Amino acid sequence: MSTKPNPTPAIAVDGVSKWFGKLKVLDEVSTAVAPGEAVVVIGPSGSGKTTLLRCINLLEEFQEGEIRIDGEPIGYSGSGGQRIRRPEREVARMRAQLGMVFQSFNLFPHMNVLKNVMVAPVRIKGVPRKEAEAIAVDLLERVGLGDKLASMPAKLSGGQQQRVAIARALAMNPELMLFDEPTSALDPELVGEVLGVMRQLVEEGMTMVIVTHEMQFAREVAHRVVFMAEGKIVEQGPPDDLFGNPQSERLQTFLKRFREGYMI
Amino acid sequence: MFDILIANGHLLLAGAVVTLYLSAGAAAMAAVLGAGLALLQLFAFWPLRLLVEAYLYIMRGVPLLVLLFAMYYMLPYAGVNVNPTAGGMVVIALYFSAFMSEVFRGAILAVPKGQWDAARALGMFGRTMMVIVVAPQALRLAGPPFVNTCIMLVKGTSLVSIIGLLEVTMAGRQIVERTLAPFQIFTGVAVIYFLICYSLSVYGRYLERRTSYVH
Repeated sequence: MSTKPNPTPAIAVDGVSKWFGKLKVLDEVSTAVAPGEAVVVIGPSGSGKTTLLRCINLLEEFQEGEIRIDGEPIGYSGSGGQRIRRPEREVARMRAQLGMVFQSFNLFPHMNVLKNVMVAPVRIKGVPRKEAEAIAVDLLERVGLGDKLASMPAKLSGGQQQRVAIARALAMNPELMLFDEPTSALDPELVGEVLGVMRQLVEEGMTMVIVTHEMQFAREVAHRVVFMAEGKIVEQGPPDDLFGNPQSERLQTFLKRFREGYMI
Repeated sequence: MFDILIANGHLLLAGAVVTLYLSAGAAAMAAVLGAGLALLQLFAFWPLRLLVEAYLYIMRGVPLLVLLFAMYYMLPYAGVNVNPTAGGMVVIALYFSAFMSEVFRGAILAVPKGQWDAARALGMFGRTMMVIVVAPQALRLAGPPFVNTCIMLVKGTSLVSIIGLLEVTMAGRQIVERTLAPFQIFTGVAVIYFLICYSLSVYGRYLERRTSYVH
């Protein structure tokens, strides 16, 4: 929840709808993320959380509405019935400003840790090799992996891989970070190390959208929680309000099931 | 018993040299052409893609022997005279390029979707994405079926004997006609093919280990 005056949101999602065939997976979703805001998206499986996140950097196409990053529409130009897919080069240029972290890490398996973090700055942004290496080493030290520079991803634990993936995204110096269930593929004892890095990012003022099932994390760290179900945003607000006093029946049921699931 | 084989060994070996360079040349051409066809099949604008697919179906649907006959007997009718060595090599290359294309296409498609996502999310696209992320992984995946196709190609070269190329099978047949010792001579021919193909397998395994992700 941001109260600062704020003419241009970091992300503006404006009436976005998306269909997979006949199935409407996003139903006129609208929301905005302010610079420096950390938004956590929760909701049952199949509610469209991940799809919404993937629409923000156009890894998924959407059929209606508009998403703007710092005021610039991503993916499509033209308005009023006219939708023209922007050229891949332009989409790629915008994606380079958005960091993304995936559930399954998706590190490049044929590159060592350092190369994974360096490759995009060098090849996409044209950062000189020496400089990119210094940045990469610095980032990897920040996520606690300064001693793993030469390791191949296959030799790392899931938690370590995910921290490399976060460093890789940060190396592009993104304006904001998207996290797609970053801890869902991890063993329980490895979740903490990844959440720790994310918590640090929130404290540094990084704009973040996080899809997660870590309710405790959402409650402690998020500025705002968005609850989605069946492709719609059902409820959103400060975490204490949503978790403490859920208004909609859907969210009440969701939280109840969630607590029961964890008490068993 | 095998003294006939030893006495004629130099002729078989001369044939083996022809088999080797025919195979090497055709495999190199087939690989390059196949990789190109795979990329066209995956990424080209649709009319071109249809054209490529038509080519692949024809090449895969017609026996190599028939293609060799077509080159050797039909082209002269059309006023084109082809040198059998070059012609044979090209026909084998064209034929196996269709199989190579499927090898590479399959390998590219087998690169996990998450890798494409990660590359795109970092701002990569087009050739950069292929070169940095997809190709290195696809080539590793292509290794075993690639070696497999090469082995089929080596054995496929035996068919050019029917258009008069003196490779190892043809050499064997000629020696047999002279010596009437098919058992010994064809054993020798088989051993030569086996050694070439077995070496390919071993080298393939070696490359697979060398390029494994886990060092």
